[in-house]
Amino acid sequence: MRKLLLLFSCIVLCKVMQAQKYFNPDTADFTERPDTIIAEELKDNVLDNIPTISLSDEDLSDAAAQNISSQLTAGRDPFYNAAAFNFSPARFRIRGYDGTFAAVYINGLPMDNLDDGYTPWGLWGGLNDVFRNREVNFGNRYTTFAFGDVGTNTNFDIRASKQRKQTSIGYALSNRNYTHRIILTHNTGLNKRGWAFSFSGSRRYADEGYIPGTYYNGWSWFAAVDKKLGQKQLLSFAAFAAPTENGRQTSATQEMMTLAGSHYYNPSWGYQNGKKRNANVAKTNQPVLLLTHEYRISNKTALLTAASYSFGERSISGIDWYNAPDPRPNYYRYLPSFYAADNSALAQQLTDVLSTNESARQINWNNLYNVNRDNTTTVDNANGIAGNVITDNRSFYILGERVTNVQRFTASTTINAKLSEHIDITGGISYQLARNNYFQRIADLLGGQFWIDLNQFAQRNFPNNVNAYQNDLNHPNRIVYKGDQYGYNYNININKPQEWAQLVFKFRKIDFFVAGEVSQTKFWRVGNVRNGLFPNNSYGKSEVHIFDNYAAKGGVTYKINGRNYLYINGALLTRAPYYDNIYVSPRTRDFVQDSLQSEAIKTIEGGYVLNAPNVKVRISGYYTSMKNGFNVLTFYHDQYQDFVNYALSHIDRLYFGGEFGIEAKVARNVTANAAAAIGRYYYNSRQKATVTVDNTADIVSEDEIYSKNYRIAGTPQEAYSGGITYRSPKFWFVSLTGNYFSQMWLDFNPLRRTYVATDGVTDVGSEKAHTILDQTRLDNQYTLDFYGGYSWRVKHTYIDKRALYVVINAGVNNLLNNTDIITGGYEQLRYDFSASSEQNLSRFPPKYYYAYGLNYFISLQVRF
Amino acid sequence: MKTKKTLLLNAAILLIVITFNVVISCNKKFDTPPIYIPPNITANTTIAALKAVHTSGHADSIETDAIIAGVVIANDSSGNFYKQIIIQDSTAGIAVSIDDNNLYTSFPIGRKVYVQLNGLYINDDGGLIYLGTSPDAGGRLTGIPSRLKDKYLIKGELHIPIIPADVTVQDLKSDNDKYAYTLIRLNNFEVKTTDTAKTYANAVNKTDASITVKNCAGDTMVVRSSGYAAFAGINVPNGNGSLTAVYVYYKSAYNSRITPQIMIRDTADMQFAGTRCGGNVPPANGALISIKELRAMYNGSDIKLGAYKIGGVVISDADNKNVSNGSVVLQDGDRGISVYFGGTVTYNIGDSIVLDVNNDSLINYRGSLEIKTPYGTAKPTAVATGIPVFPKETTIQQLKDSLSNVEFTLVKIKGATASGSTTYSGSQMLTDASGNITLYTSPSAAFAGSNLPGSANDWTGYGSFYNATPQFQIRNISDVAGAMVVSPTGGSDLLISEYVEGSSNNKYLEIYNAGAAAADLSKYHIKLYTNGHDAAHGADNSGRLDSVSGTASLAPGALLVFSTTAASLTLPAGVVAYPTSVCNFNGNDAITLEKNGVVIDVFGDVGTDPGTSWTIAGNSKAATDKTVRRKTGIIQGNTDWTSSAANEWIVIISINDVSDLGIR
Repeated sequence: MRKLLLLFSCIVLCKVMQAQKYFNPDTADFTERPDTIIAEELKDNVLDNIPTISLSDEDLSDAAAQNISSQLTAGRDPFYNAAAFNFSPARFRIRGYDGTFAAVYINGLPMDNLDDGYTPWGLWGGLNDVFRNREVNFGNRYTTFAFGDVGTNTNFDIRASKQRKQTSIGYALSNRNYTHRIILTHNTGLNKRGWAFSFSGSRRYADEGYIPGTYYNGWSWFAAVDKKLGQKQLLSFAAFAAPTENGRQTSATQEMMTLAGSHYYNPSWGYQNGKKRNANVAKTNQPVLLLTHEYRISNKTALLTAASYSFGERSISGIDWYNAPDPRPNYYRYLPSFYAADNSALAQQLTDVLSTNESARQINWNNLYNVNRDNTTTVDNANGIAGNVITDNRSFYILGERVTNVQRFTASTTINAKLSEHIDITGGISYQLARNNYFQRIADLLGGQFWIDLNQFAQRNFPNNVNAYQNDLNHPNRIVYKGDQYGYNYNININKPQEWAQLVFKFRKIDFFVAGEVSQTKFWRVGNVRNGLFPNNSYGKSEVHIFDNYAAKGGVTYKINGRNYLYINGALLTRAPYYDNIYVSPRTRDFVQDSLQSEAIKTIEGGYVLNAPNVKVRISGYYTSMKNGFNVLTFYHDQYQDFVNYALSHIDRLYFGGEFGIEAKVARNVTANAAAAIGRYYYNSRQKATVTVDNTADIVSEDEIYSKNYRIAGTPQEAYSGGITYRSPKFWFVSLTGNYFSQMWLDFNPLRRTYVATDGVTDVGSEKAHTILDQTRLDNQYTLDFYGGYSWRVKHTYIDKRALYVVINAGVNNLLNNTDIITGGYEQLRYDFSASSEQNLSRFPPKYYYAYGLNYFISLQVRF
Repeated sequence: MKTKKTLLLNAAILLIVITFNVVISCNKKFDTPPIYIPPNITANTTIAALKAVHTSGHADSIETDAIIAGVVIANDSSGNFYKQIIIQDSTAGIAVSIDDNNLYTSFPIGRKVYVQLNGLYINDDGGLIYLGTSPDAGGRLTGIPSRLKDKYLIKGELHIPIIPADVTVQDLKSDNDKYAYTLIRLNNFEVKTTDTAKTYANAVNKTDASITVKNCAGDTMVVRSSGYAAFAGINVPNGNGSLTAVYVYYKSAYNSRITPQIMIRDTADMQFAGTRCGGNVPPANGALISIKELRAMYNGSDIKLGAYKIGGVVISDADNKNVSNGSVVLQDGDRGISVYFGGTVTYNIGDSIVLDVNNDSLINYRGSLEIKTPYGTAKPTAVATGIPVFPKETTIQQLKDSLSNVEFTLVKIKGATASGSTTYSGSQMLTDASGNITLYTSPSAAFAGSNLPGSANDWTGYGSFYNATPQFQIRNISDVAGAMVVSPTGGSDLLISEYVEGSSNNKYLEIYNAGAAAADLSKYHIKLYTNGHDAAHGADNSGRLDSVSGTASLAPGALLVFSTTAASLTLPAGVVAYPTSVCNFNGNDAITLEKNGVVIDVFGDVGTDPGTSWTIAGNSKAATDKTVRRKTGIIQGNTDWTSSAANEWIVIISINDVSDLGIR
């Protein structure tokens, strides 16, 4: 309670923070300050190699395909530094905001996905060398490139002429996602004729990553050219892509981890011919082409115009099956706990088998092949042609891919002008357009000869309806082969025009600004197949959903003196919902949630900053409220034998807290730093859940979720770190940092917080009520990290008249090998309402991911 | 020179970059595992020997290294068996209980299975002996868990033929244990007459059912099927022939009486296509049956139809659109049915078509029987056209009484009167001396906007149910014999004929009876909707014409004038204005004229606030400080204000002009 009071007083007294321009490519000198630069590069490397995780193994959205290293950092803000870097292994999110509240721009162009709001970091993964020039703004302060989001705003400048003239060759070794990385980069700088070129390529790979059964195979390339046109104009073109394939981890319950004897148990692989084969493979290849034009109209006015086109595909694979036993080795009906209550002897027998026999815990690929080969099936009216009979080995198991094919066009123009000595004006317009095609594709028939595009769930529910079980009524009984589309297939089209303007006033003692933005988001679904259950709502164009949004923000900074600042910023905005939170079951139909509206967001921040040569301090507080959010959760329910969708609305969220960071020189060459983030993130409304299943139009139930004051999960709400760094004048440094995390919660299953879920529980204070209702809290955790680096100038060696440098850096995270840090997971959405026994309450226990134990990253780079 | 070098370097790097991208596209493929080769195992005991040691009603654990081998004769492929496979060797058969679904994928019929018995248990259920793992508290063996399958069950060769034993009912009854869980065949059997209309089980409620089969000598046997079986909803075949099945008797726990039963694996096990015992020839597969026979197949739940054809004459009229899109109504003798094809139906009344209903569904669609064809089914070409179907004369009560039989057949109702709205559209009421029925016309029917005839007529059409409510539909306007098509230009009812919005309280409204008969004023209301409200708030804004005027009826061609209570202009001689607060309008308010609660004329658009005034005949101030008169050619109300305002009114550019009130 006292802590809370403190927190409140902090908020009331201080109010939030200041964003800083963290890195200025024009002034930064790589050779003069090697330690800082090495440290920053090291951080990039570490974050680049953070594991790709899936939010849920049933997760059908493509957000899960993304690498979630959400905040690459460069900065001198003592708090932001720690938050973006030291806290990242625990998946700390600044102010608790999810990834949709962070915006990323390249050359002023918005890059965030229009369909889910997340930043597609993977598009430029491995291109660290050329994605180094950036401006990071944190909080609601103004930026010079966009109105921005309420979280962090980052703008990369990837133009060839802005890359330092240099050639570098690097190799890195790690035991995380990938084992080896090679990067080659060559930047020419601007030559006398006004040309600049930049190339970079990298290869990242691992036969097996930290987690058993995972692997990594990534390539990246980047090519850019700039041409200066006269004194005032610069035309730039850049193209890049990071085609990557990686075998992924799937979350698991504690029971399986105990049987496997490891927190890193991964159910997504199995042996095939003696090799580990992973079923959960993410592939992405989405090149981006970018054209930028900068026009310095005068000394006081600059116009930056850019357009980009991006296209390609991402996919996630998984085993799909038709009227066959569940192939997942961790399916709950296969486990000892399923038998424990009724037949303990059998449970013990299963425990023995599963704990001693690794292959029993993994996918049995051979069995899938055998089943596909052992059964001959006759299909009548194949492909909808009467009398067309096919008899062959039908695949009961296949490896399917959920594919997102992206086509995206973005254009923006931004003007920055100095109206007078005291007034800067900035404004811009942008237009974004995305056409995403979501479909399923057969990756492998696993020994069978064909697959039939039928919906087995509908077949079970409507055995006598001749049309219901067709995935595509326009092509009934379609026989599909490897590489063919099957299952769902729909497009989402999104258009978003935006306009913004901002005025910044700068005076001796006080700076202030106001900014405003208007935008419109328009999206609709186009079905490419006619689903047998929803023939009139699945094929063709749906209704167009339009959201008009506005945003306004402003702030004041009071300069006590050149080193001490007080500031306060606030913003008021509305935000259109993302399509995947609106369409109840876009795979089968175009139904949307009721009473669509934009989310209303209010935020205020304030704080104090000290920026002295020997000490840097930041104390800040924030308070953010969000109202009327939407969400759709989907999972497979084997009692309904169907995908169940929870359409949630009336989601209100509240975030408040304080942030503190200090960095001080404590002795010659020794710097100490400390940071703390203390926040409280709540859901503060009773959400409404409408439960539907994919295979009927019926509403299964409509529930009020007693979700008030449940915690927002996915991040520690409190994080602390302290560290010490020694920087030698001989161009090397070492640092040691300790971190502590607490107030970590697991995302809750809404249906467990309903009136019906507590049916039969008469005493709200009883242990049983607590078991059902309490949100799962995770244990507090600590880590200890070491970093070091050395930059060596090879004497008397010049290449192309440039000095030769050898740079070595190393990071060892989690020195104490703490393997108990849960970084993610979820309460299973399935809930057994017949919760008459304790056994049933624990039938669907939470699933977790654990952070890596001791892990390292060592890199060596040669530059000239 | 230097530039050249740089360019070369650039080109080299670009090449590397391109190579990167090319290399990624050649991913290594996984080796395909080799084809499964069964291990070399031999059984060291027989199923009969294993069963012989079992004590009835007792779960025994098996602790010897005994191995039995059997061939799968039944599995869960069709869902009739659940969580078990039945294996048989040359001596006997036994069930193996396995706690998993879709066992057929690994244990197809004809696969040899070796069971390593050590660690398993044996027990019986109603006398039938089965294998499983340790018993639960009730002594019932738990199925072998999925993860332990491979420990106990070794898969052997595939495609081993099993020949069912040809038996008689007496054989089975005399040696229940010998035949239990073995494949048998009964020859020259047929479904008992009382069961021929049944489906195998209840697919909707998922409940099991028994079908009795018999031979010509009268020996009977029960075929038991699960409601979860894929074929549960299929109608049983009605011929005579052979029946292959697994013998599963049931022994009562109370009196040990044995009920012999058999279970089929799939419908192919019932080869009943021959002539029945009495000499009746059942419809062969693909044979034409009557719609009456087809309708008789419906047993209360939706079924999938077998290989039959039906023939019928089209009695629905696609052109006039009073039939749901994609549907056609067929009549064959004294029975009819609706067929749903989807898409566009182009059949004309009198087309004769033959429809292959194999694989179609026979369903209850909102209370009436419908054949639903698979999407995209080709619509058969008519074999003949212009075949007349003569409607059967009926009273409304007779139609309703027999509707479940005679739905979708053509009937004629004589001397019936329609009432309800002015037009056909929607549900109206048709009444004759015997009773009434809903007269339904689709709003998209070609004649939906035509006026209902006021007098008694003869009506031809067909009945059906709509969610248990009987309804009657005509196909087109010529189905109403003696009824003139009422022209929408013929005056028929009251309308608003003049509107005066003068100074202060001087507001008047004139109503005209354009109909040919006296209007019963108790049926009419005028209502005021102020300032864009979409509700006429309170009694003040609504007036029933008889109470406001104090007269019961309005003669044809007569007029009524209403005003505010404080109106003070001098009206033409003899004209009386009846005061009502409905006249408290000021230019931006809407007025409606309703008959029986249905709006028949409007002045203004309810729910819309035009600002200060309605725009009439292009004049944006027409409804304020003006007099507006309905053109004399207008003899019918118009509920579409947009078209009315544009075409039907004359605006008098003068304030307080009441010279035309009471005159038309």
